[in-house]
Amino acid sequence: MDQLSWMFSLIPDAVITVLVHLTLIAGVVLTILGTFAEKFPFVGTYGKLAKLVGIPLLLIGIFLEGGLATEMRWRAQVAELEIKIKESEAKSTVVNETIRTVIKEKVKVVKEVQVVIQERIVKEKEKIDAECKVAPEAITILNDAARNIKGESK
Amino acid sequence: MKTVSILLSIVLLVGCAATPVKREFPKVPQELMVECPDLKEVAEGTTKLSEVVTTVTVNYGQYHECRLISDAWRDWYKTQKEIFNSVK
Repeated sequence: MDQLSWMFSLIPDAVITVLVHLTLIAGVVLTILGTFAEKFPFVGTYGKLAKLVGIPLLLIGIFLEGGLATEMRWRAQVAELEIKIKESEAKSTVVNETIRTVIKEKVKVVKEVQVVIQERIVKEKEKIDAECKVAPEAITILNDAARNIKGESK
Repeated sequence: MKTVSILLSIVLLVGCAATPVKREFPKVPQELMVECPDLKEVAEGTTKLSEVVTTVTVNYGQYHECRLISDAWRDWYKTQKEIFNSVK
């Protein structure tokens, strides 16, 4: 059935609907006409022939009507899903834009705070350096700690 | 009969069921793709505490920026996953 559905999906809705309905109608008409025609002596042979074609057409038509109903329901579901996807994509875009804006604003604030902190250091430089001399070992330890950035062991 | 068999085989073999609806997980904003830079190091040979403090505070600032991006990643993924999973 999957194969049939896939093949159906390649044909436009209107075309497939008309073809399936025509098949069923032709099947019904030929079967009924054939059944009646059989009873008349001159057209009896044609009646048999009409029935011979009509009955398979009728069966195929019924089968295809079922397939068509399934196919149309499937297509409706696909269309509904596509709408939902478009909506979700729009939401995602909005979320991306919001996150982008929030990050920019927050990073800006962090940088502004940094500027203020650096200005305070410059301002208090004399006091900070007045009573403290940093040992070179402390600098080495700090730098080693700073270099150990990606979980690499020393 | 041969022709019918061939046609039937074609019908059965051709139709590989394909999902007609394609979806992609949303793309990450460029702002989240920024890598955290290496930490600043104190100039070797300095004995001034103010220089040490300057470097350390710059690194603190760097940490805060990286933390923002890391938090934003979590928020982004959580929200986008919710949106993505809401489509059924």
